[in-house]
Amino acid sequence: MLEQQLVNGLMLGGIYVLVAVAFTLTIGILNFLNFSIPGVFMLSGVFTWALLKMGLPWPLAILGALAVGAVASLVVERCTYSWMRSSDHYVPLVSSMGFLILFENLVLVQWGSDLQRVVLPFADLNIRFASLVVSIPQLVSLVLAIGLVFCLRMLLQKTQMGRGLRAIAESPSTAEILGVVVARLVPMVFVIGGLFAALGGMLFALNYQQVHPFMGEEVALKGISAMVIGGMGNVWGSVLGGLLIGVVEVLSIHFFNADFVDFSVYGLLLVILFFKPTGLLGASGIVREKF
Amino acid sequence: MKFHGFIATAMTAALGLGFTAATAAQDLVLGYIAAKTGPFVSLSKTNEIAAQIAVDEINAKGGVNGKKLRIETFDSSGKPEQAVVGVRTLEKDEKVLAIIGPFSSSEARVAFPIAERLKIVTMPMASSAPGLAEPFKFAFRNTSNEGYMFAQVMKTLKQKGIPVRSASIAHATDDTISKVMGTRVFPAIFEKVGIPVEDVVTFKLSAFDLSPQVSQLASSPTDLVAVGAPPEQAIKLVTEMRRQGHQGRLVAGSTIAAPDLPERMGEPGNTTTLPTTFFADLDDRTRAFAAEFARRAKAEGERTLPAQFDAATYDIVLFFAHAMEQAGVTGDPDKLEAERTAIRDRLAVMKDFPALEGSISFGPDGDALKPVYVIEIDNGKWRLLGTQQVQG
Repeated sequence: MLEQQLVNGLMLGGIYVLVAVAFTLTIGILNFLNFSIPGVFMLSGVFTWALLKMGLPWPLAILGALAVGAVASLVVERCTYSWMRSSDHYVPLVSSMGFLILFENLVLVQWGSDLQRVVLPFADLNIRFASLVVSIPQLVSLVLAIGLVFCLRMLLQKTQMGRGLRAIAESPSTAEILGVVVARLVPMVFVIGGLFAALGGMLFALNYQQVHPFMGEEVALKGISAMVIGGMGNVWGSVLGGLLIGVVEVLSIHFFNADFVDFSVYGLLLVILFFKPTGLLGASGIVREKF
Repeated sequence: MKFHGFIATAMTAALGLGFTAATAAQDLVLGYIAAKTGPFVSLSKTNEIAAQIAVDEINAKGGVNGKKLRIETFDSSGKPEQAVVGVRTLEKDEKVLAIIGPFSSSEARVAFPIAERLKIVTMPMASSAPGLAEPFKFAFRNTSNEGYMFAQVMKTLKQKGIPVRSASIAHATDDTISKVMGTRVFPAIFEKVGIPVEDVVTFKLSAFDLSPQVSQLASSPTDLVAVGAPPEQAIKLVTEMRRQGHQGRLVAGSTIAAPDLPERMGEPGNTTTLPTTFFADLDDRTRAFAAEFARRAKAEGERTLPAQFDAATYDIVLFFAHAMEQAGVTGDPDKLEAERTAIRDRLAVMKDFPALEGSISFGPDGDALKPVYVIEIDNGKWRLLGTQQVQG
């Protein structure tokens, strides 16, 4: 049974990974904790359900949901970071929180606060090895999460756009002097981050077959914790942090009970911060070593 | 000219307000603490439709003691602290005669003491944690004790020869009724009927991944899995159980009694069994109520099948109207406290009231005594497994 619980933990961690990467991108490059990410996550999940319910073929529903996430994230960028960049640092942060509440309430008004069941367009999607049961969508989520993080890392390290983004992460004003078009690259950060969050929301909907307006909040705290545990701004740190939280959460339930989950997860966070304040893969010079 | 126009408008408005206030003063006003969001929203948000059907029916027949009945609503969002605010607001500001609701045991637990101090009757339509109303004189519940309800499920399963050799329990820990079901009701009833409890797993209401709990249950599968949770968590649990190959029968109390549960659970929900105090297809009266409910719910874009809590809310309005009629309530603000107490006194002695849910009386603990219908999901629909009439 312990093997099954480890599988459960890794699969759960895959969702946290995507949310943590979305958070780490904006905080790593723009030094901006984007609180609207759980809202983007939720919008994508809810639209996956809504589009499937409307009878759209599943590839179109998935693409539609991802597009909604990307557009929502871009709207947040235009109305918060871009619009209020010259304001005090907390103004865009608070505005992004406003967007989270706005997104949740828009969905609440449209579809109510009920939990909606996502009917999968596929039959039984599980692989069974002896007594182990592995959900194929969850396995795909995990592989996709790690694969996309690898691609993101390549993009940041090997492409001109990546170099530009890393320059912005070091110093936006210096990057601008060096010829990096900051105004063009910043929206890309939001779109990429939004796509990670949207992918997480869409896979959440398909894996757990449930969506509701507040589903983003359920994973947001764990996603932020995964980012901090792994090392803020380090995408591989987010992968490690997400998987670790997933496994710790599941093992807490296995060995104790559900009431111990938050104690274990946030206890782990505190212990790691105490001994290694920069996170497991974070360096002391936080900007220098990220990505 | 403009000034004259202003005066004319102001006078019209003043007259209009005066007329409205005069009309309102003639009404008998009931308070209603609604839960339009929150953990039990799928069961609670349509209750107001049922209450309004009852009010409209009563007013169509001439009202109560010659006066129109009216409801003032306060939305607690299913939050206990807001339920307390709701009792205070309805009692002090709206000066209502009695209060319908609040919905859940978490809310009732804190609303009852306040209502007792303010000397006003509150009557939840869903709170069923054992003994909550017992210490109070102004607390009534149009619900049956969950222990009694679940005992009827076990009795019916046994009567039908359905295998019940072993059981496990899954319950939420951060909701009063769910925890009471999991830690007190299920263990007590299983012990009483001699069924060993093999395992107990817990989860939180916000948990979206129940795979670790189900892996634990699936390691030693049992005939029954008793779930103490709102419908949403039960849906997640049964979906995950079937995914991991656990074929046990899900049994529950009334916490998951959503009429659209078969549709929302889909195929994994087959054989899920629970007690309810309302079965829409019972007789002409229940069918007529269900039809009217469906008509109004459709217009509001809500679930069109009435839940037992909708029927219970409808009946609460009837109880209050009956008590007000018996007590000769006038709605006179000067007699407010005396008339609230008179309503309480009439409710306490009400026996065999011909309600929508069946013949209903109130026991000494303030809880309603009413028939229990045991139903199971059979290929996407509810099926009546058995009816257990009131005992004691």
